[in-house]
Amino acid sequence: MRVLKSVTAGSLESSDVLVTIMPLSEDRIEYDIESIVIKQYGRRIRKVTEDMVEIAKITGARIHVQDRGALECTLRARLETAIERSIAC
Amino acid sequence: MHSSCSPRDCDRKKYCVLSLQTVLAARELRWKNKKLLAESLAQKFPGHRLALAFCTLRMPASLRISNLYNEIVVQLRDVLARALMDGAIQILDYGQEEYEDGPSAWLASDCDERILKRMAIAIEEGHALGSLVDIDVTDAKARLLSRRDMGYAPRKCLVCDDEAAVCSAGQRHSLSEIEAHIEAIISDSMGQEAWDSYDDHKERD
Repeated sequence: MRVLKSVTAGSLESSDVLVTIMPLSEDRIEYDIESIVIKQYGRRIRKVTEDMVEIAKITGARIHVQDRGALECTLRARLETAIERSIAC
Repeated sequence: MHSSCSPRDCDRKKYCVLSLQTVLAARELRWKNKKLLAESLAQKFPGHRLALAFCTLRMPASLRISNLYNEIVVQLRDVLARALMDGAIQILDYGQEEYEDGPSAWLASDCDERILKRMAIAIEEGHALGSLVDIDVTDAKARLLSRRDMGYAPRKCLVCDDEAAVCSAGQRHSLSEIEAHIEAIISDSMGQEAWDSYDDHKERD
């Protein structure tokens, strides 16, 4: 499914994460992952993000994750909402 | 686990009273409201350099909504207001709100946002109750300033000496442990002068 529009989900409050999805003209996915706990949880954040994008089968998008120490369930919920918003007509 | 949460949310069960959805919706609403507030204040006070501060409780959601600590956000917002007045900086507006995941108090001042951020950090670090609040500072466009960008160290955990974000993201401490530390901070604050003035704290940064 192609990403249709630029959307965000979440916030930059402590313990939250702001997910921004922007459409790309090409059929690929670009990731930009930032986290204040990148050393401790960076690999996990990337894995969860890539897995969820893969499962949702979206393409043509830049996924920007700005993590402020969110729990994994928070990250999953924010990604899910952002993906839903990005493909909604 | 909260009844409306799906099983995958169960890593949150340690602190769970509100559903994850409620907490996330409240955060997103507060985030949007900050932008709307900044826009409306920019219209209301043209020609002023707007900087905004938002004070919220720095503890798990179940404690934030317990109503036990509501006055702390107003008290510490007012400490910031006093520091601004002592520095002859004008306060343009202020207010407080109750969200589903806890209370919030804010003010808008007419100064460089970095000055306001430095004052907020001095209170978070120096006031006897400062470790119990987050004082987020934004510029006139509601863009958040970060400690890191300002060259400050990340905040310490309420319970141990590690970085707070690492402990909370990993849920390293139990709710009862956190609650005990909060109560100790509050009872310690009663035996001492909580805060004298910003001038006495800013040199320590």
